[in-house]
Amino acid sequence: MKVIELRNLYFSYNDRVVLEDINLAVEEGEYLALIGPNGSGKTTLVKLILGLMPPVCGEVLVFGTPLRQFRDWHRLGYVPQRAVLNNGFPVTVREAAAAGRFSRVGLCRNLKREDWEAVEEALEMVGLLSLQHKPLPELSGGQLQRVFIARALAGQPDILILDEPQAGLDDRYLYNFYCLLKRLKEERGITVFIVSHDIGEIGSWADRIICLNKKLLYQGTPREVLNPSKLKDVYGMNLYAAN
Amino acid sequence: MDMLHYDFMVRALIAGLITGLICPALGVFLVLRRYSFMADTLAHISLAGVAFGLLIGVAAEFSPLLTLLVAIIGALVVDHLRVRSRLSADALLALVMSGGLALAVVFFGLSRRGALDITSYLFGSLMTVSAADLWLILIVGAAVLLFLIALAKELYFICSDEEAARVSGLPVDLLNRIFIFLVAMTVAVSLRVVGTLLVGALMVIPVLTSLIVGRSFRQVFFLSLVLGVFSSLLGLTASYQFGLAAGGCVVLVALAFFIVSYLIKQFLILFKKRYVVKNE
Repeated sequence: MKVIELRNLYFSYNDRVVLEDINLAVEEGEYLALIGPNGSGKTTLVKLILGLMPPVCGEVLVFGTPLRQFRDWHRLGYVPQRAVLNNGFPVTVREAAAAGRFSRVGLCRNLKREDWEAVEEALEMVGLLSLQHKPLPELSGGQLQRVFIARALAGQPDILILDEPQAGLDDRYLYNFYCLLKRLKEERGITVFIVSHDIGEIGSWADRIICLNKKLLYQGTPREVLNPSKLKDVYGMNLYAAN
Repeated sequence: MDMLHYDFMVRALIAGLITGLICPALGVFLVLRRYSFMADTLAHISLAGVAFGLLIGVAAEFSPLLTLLVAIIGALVVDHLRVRSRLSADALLALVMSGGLALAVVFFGLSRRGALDITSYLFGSLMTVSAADLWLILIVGAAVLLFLIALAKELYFICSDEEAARVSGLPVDLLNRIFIFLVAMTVAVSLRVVGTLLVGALMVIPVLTSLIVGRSFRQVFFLSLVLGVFSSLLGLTASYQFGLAAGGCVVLVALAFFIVSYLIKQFLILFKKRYVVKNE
């Protein structure tokens, strides 16, 4: 089953075309990585999939439903590009992660015991359960990023969309993070859609790699895509992925 | 306690109790979103509404309603500009705030009223809370509390991460609009007690104090309410005892709480640092 489908998608900011004729289908249970240089439209593509911006033309289908009619938002988990904390609010790790549960609980309803259990389980997965009562301003950047991953997991989504989550994570945790994604895919059948600039590491984890630079240039298994000549086409310079 | 023998004082205290509760309750979300100046902006627009009422000679009972209406129109303008224009939040609020104040000054001038009228609106007064005002305050207070009881968790999510809230399927635009309406109404009805220039302070200062003390969002929220109510009631009592402007007294009490919390916190930090260094 196709969980995400993009048909002839175009997007432009004013007169600058950012995405051109994007066609893509993501299969259920797939681990898909989107790579491309800065400014290639990766984040824009994610925002179109999530309905945060309307495409200029083309169509986005999620679980076979056009985005306009889509209502099951709890089935999507989203980890934004940079976990920003713009105020000194002492929101606790637990409170922040609980927000990911709201769409399952529904408007005007309180979180029940099973909801809090899901929140705790999500915190456990990212290794933050012991810090659950700590206020966010006291966390490191990497820990903060993990809170936002936990928030996405707390809703127990079927698709997890992550926009360069590696940026904030510290090296020590990065390996665990990739293992976690793999585990989610294998044990729960979650579809993983990750935007990555880490072309070396991602090749050893993802099932399929997609290269974007305004257009979808290449897609295929890491072995097919991550070769010097194709990467040169995408990035416009010589690059060697380490695997 | 002899102040309770006067009807006007009982009205002022009830009004103070409610505004002390709902101002910081909404203020928490304004501060969380870095829109602390929103309340001030809407207050200046409301003042233009008051002045307009004086100018066209609206009957005293309807004046609060007119103020409310103007505040809501102002809120709509702010919200429209927030979404559509590329102005940053502070620039946008400065623009609308000065516009509101300019209108108010001109309307006051045209209506040829004495300075006394204006002062009571600028700084609040115990004497000006009429029975009609009180009813309006009660209604707005009930609306705000009901909204927060039902939707506080959604509002928290939107104010802390609007994009993620959208992705989770929340009706973000609708809730934003209701929220901004409630802020406008709260500001408009609180004017009579604390005054235009200081209503923003009642929305923000108790929250800032709670931020120093609180260790979770929940704590900050409830502590803000407690501090707001205490500041309001103590301030109004002081205003009665010493014959001073109500708004000034309320805000000074709120500020006193802030300063004490700040000093204690700084002292504790210093003490902790010394302790850590000594034990290294």
